[in-house]
Amino acid sequence: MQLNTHKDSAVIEQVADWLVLLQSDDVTELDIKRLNLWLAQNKAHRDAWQQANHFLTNIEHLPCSVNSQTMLTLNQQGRRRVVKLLSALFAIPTTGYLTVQSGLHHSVIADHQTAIGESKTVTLNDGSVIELNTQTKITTTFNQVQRSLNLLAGEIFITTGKKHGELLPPFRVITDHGVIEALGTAFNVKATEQGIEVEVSEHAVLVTTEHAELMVKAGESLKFSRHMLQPKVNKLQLSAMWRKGLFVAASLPLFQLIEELGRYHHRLVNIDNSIRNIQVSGTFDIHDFTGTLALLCESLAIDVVYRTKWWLAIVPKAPHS
Amino acid sequence: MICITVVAMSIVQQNFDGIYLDNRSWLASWLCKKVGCAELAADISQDTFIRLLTNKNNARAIENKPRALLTHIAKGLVIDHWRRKDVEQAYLSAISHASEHEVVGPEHKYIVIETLMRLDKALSQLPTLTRKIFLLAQLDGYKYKDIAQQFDIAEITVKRHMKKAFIACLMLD
Repeated sequence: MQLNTHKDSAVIEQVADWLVLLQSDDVTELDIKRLNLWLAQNKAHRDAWQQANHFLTNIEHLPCSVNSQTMLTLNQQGRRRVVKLLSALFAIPTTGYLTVQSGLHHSVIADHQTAIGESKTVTLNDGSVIELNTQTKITTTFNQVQRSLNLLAGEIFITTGKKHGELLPPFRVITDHGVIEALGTAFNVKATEQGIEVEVSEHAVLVTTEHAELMVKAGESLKFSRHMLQPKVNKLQLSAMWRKGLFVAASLPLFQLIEELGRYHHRLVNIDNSIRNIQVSGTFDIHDFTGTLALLCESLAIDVVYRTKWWLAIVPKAPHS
Repeated sequence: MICITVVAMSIVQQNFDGIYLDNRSWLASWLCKKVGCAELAADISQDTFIRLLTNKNNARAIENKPRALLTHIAKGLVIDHWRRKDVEQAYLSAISHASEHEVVGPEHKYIVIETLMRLDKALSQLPTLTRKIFLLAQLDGYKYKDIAQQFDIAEITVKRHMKKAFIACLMLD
């Protein structure tokens, strides 16, 4: 019996409290909000929660027929005890909105990721569809207690699944800056260095951070981070055009446009300071970096100098040309 | 403190060849007597030395009483081995009654055995009542209030047992 000493016993105790609460009949909507808040608080909480769910998912995966009362007679048989497990499944939650399922409710822990310039669509077994943009990494935990997705990096568009006549557990996107709970929705989530950007296309999501709780409805967007005290909901201009292979810039500084397009390509780009902030508007093909640069050269007073194929500089247009 | 550990670690690593050569043969024959199978004894003997290398707490003990430490590690591994056999046996007999579609592939079987081993380890350190309550709730799907009724205890007590059992499961390495 080795106890893992570097596990934080205080956090584990809290996880145990949450599991017991979720399993009891007393769980309320307020508790779920508190859980979201707790998860939003720090990474140690999220990691411990994820680990606990991994273990519970494995128990849930035990075949129905692994059956027996003998688990309880183990100790009577001394050292060579026989392990058998009772027939019923690990029916963890019977919360307000979860009904107990008698059948096997398969849960899946999975990792999905995309390389630079790659995009990919994943359908989860509850019918939810996740579209991954370039350089994205997610893990998912789906069981009877939760449908949860960790966004570790990048950008995803989620269309949550619905099963006819069945109540599914809440769908959460867990990020380093807060938790986004889907309220029957389609929405886009992007992780940047500064924080998280969420754009809602259908219905609404509930965003919980350490300092705030906000509803974001269809046609709205929100940028938030764990440090922000009062993030503000904005009108959504154009949602998730990356799904069509496009990026739309509306009066965007040149360097930001290049940064944005750079997410899809292995390129090192230097931009001359005098032109960094030229305002650019237009619709650009995210997969055609060279073409986009040629287009920019035509319409703006800039030139592109290729140092190597991968390394280039954007400079002001030479006066005589 | 940390420095001492690091130095001690390297003593084990530096002397590892010596320790291995000095102790390999008696350990294998000791194990062979215990488990009655030369091949298995050789496997467990290898695992014993791997454990020795990977656990830094062993440094001092190996200096003073190498035999005692190696026997201690080997004993634990033998127990684990038999335990795993028991678990596997129980699993096989359980699924022998199963309908065909429930029989799982080798990869899933590995996860099932590992899960059962873990569960067994975690629960074996708990009092009988806690273990019973946990199994009823987690494997039979009983509600807390039903369990409370069955044992004639308060629901809050059931929750306390559940919390203890969850902690035991989560603390396990």
